[in-house]
Amino acid sequence: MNKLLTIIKKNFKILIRSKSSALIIIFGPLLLILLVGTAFNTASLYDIKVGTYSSAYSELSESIITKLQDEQYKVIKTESQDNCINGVKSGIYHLCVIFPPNLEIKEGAENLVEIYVDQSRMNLVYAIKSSITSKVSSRSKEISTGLTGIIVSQLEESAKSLEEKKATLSSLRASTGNIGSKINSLVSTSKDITESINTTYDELAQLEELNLKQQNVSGSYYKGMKILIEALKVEMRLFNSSTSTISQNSENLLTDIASYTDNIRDIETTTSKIIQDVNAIQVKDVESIVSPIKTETKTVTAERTHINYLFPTLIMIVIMFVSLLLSSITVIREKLSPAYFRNFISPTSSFLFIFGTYLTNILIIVLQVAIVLGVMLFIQPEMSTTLLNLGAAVLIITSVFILLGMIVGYLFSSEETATVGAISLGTILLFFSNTIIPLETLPIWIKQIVDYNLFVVSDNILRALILFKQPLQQIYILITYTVIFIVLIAIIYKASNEIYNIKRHLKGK
Amino acid sequence: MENQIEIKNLTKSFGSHVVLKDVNLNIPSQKIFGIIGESGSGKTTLLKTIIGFWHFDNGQIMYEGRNLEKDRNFIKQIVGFATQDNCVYPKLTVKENLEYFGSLSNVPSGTLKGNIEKVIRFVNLQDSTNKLAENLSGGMQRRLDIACALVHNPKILILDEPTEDLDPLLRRDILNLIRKINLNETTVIITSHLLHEAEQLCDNIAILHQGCVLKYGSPEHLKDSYTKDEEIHLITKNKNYDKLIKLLKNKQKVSNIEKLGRKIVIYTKEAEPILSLLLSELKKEKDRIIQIDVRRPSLGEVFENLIKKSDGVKKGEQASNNNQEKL
Repeated sequence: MNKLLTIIKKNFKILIRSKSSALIIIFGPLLLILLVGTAFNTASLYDIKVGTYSSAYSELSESIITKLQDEQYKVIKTESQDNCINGVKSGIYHLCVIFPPNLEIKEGAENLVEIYVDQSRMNLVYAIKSSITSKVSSRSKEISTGLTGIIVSQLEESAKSLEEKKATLSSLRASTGNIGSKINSLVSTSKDITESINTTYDELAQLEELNLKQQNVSGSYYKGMKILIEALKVEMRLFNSSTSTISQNSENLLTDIASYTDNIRDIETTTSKIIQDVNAIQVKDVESIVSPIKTETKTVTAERTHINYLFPTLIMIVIMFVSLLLSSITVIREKLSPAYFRNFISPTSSFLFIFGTYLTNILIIVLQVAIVLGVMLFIQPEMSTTLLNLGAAVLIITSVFILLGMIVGYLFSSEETATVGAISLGTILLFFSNTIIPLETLPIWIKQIVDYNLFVVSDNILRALILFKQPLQQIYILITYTVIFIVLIAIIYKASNEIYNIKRHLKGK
Repeated sequence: MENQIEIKNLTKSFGSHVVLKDVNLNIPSQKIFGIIGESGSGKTTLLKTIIGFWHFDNGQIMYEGRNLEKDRNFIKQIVGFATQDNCVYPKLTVKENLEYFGSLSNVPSGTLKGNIEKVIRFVNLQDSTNKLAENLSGGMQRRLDIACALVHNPKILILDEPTEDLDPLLRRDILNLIRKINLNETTVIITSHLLHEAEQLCDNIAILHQGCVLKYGSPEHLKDSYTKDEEIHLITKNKNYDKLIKLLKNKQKVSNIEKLGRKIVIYTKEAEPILSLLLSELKKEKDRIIQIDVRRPSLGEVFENLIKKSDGVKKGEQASNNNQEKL
């Protein structure tokens, strides 16, 4: 224990007395976090430049531009479409929006607004693209809402009018029925008249016969009677004919009235159907018709500034690079130190030197992380609920990266190569993580490997703990890595020292 | 005289390159033992092998009757080692370096403080106790390195070319320090390619050439094994040596005479009668002595001679092997 403390004390003294190491490795990460924390302590996107072009700006396109300007975007109108697109290529604009000439809402208008983005700026492009698209969509939705509103109100107005006229139709149908009944009655009366005429006619015939039998009736009376009877017969025939015509016409009228009644009934049925159909439309709210399904992105974390989301990844980047660099440099400096040989010939186990190096590194990094977490805890007190788990996670994550850095240190034979090795390793781990590009863009088989990337696993653990206050997960992967790295260090330490000493020996040192 | 370290048939190679071949050495206790040899002769490898830093291929190394292979930690405890590279942490102070290495060598914290004070005084670094090692001069750094090797009070101190890269004054300081350490009953093993330095300092010397110990023993023993002659080095005012050579050539006690530039060297088994003969002859010739020395052959000559012999034997063996192959 005494020896271990001596080794750690010695490592600390050497690190602190080496001004460059102390500045870069010990205070550098704290400074980095301070700077990044200050810079990203905002929730907005600043200084987004949007280039626009249209051969003829319309009121509608101008209204979209105004909307963009209201959202703090800097909108610059370009002279040509090429200027606008080339502006994106050369980085003058973050994106270019091309409006069709005289953009307006009219029958058959295509109204295609083209948005050009620089896909190579992967981290920014999605944010801007979605923001601009949502602004243009928002204006489009406003227009759509207006148009749909007119249609819906017209429809409702028509249904209301039809409803009102439905009674008139019923009354019309009733009146027609009455007329029919009356005509029926007329036909019946006409028939009665015809029958009466026929009876009268028969009676006239009897009267004529009777008259013939009465010889005593003077000739003039008889003649007069006969003339009268004949005239009456003629009149009766005419009357009969007229009555028949009336009857015939009334029957025709009845047929027509029946047909009209049917038509009125049809109209009534259709009107009822239209009213029923209009009433059957359940959604008449314009907003609901224009956007029947609304989407709203809600964060699973408390919405704050960029630093809140960045914090776990930022901590991870610091832990990874500081652990890799610090441990590899500590190991390589020890290896290159003239005193290294004396350590070898002292009655002290190699394990103690390795463990001493590990403890020195972990003490420094855990102290750094503790300072950062302490500041974060002050800003975000709810983090205290996961503090114990967070501490355990930081300890194991740091351990794994320190051990990896030590392997780098034992593998390389100069400080320069070890530093380059550590940085390269860190960069590879960082590159194959969600920090730069989404892992989902990788082929599945690579993604399956990358899922076990130390940085990815550690980042997931910290994100789960810091952002979602979830319990420790995937920690078994890190424990497995730790065991593997310890075994590797034991092998590499022995082999690399042997090789290194032979090399030194052959160089005559 | 008890042997503290016994090395038997030690062989060490790096890959196919054999660095130490069948080395046999007995290193006596509480003496200064020198290992001399050219650069690349295997001196450092021998030292690093005998402290257990390198694993050897064959042979046996015993420390006070204990086998190095079995009691590595015990041996690390009784041995202190200082290389020519100053194995200290430049960013630690003199005291911190000593505390660190003392602690690694299992010195109890109570004893360590006393040891550090003692060793700092011993190497004369009292005024630099709190100075960073990187701010010390070359000689001070070398003394600190030796102090680190001594802080756990080892029975054996091994120094690999301790005076390498030092100016003559610092070199003298270090040599005095080594003598002082030895006076404290510590066995000192040093390597050097500075033969006169080893000759002055060491009680016993081993000559190492191409991984083989050609000979070892006290400097006198080594010289005797080379020749029993004494050398008279003479420079006269007139430098007319022909008459002297003629006169001495037929003398029985003179083995050889050489004319080397301004001087002549007379090899003889008995220097005194030859000296009186020389003095009377010079008086007769009215010549004057500028310089006269009577010496034993130097270790350098012994070393040179042994190497020549060894290389000659090897060449002979090679030629015979080639002939055999031809036949």
